Amino acid sequence: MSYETAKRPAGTAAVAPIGILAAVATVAVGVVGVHDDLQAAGAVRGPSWTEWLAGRLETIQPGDWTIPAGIIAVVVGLFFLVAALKPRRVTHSAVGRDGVWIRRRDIARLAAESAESVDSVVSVSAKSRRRTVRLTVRAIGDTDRVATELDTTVGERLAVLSPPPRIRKRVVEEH
Amino acid sequence: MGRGVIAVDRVVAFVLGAGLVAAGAVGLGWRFDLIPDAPERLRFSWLPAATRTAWWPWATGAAGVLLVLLGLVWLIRHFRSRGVRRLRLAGSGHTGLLTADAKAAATAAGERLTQTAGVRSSSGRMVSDRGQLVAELNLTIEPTADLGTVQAAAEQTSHDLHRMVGRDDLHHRVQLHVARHEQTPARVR
Repeated sequence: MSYETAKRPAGTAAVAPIGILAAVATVAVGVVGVHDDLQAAGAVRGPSWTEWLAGRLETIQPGDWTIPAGIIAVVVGLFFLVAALKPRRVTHSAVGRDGVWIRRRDIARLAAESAESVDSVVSVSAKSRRRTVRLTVRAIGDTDRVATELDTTVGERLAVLSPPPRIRKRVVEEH
Repeated sequence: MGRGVIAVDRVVAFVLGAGLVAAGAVGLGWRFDLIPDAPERLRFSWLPAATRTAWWPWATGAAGVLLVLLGLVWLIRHFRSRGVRRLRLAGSGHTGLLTADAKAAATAAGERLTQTAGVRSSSGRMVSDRGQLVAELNLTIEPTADLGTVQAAAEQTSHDLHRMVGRDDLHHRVQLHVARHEQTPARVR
């Protein structure tokens, strides 16, 4: 029997909000069509919306409005293109090689917890990026010793991650 | 949200984006006389005439209903759960159908993992994810938990779940979450 692992967890696609907006816009355009049909049948009072729009679009000529409208269209269009082509965000790192995953912020929490256990450490803040864990540590006493111990302790704690992250640290002496 | 709806979103966003960039660029070029032999104005005199024809309301009505339905299906697909409720098991055939409660199997596997040192709580579910049937276990672990121990237990439990379900197309994924603070045991008076 094979124990297949699933694909890597991925964040929400950047294009999803545009898809939701486009779906709502499709419904809205449909409502306009249905409204005009009911208006023609006498079930709804008021003017025809498509007739009003056709009247506005009968003659188009460039004017002052073209500049902001053109700029907005290009900017929004570029935003749509980037969102359409953007891959889903990588949110997790692998723990071992058999389908166990952990979020970046959780790696930072584990690193902070390990760093706090090092002797002379007063406070820790940790951030985790794709391949790096960045520690800012306030410590009393010998900062070189603290830095070496941080490397060992945090390194051992996160060794099971594949690949193990690089540990960058800044030790500030507390007076 | 499934793979298909994201693909549709990408295609629509790409087409809309390309159209907007092109329309914006043409509009600006027209305004600043950068397009040679461009007319001073565009006239669509047939457009208001078309809206006054007898077939126009019917056409807008039919297209409107179609668009409302299409838009609603598209919208709902964004919020549809990917969960799988029942699993068809090996051995099903003409004589009978064997099924299992998919969520219960995944939840039970998660429950077992809470016996591992450092695992605080768990939840499990079966989902259809990017074309795969996935048993997804979410574990909340203590900040002091030993990652190696949790990893080994999670892998072992995933393999047990594979053997229990007995389907070759099953995939597994265990996601770890680290609790903010260590759970302190309740004080006994």
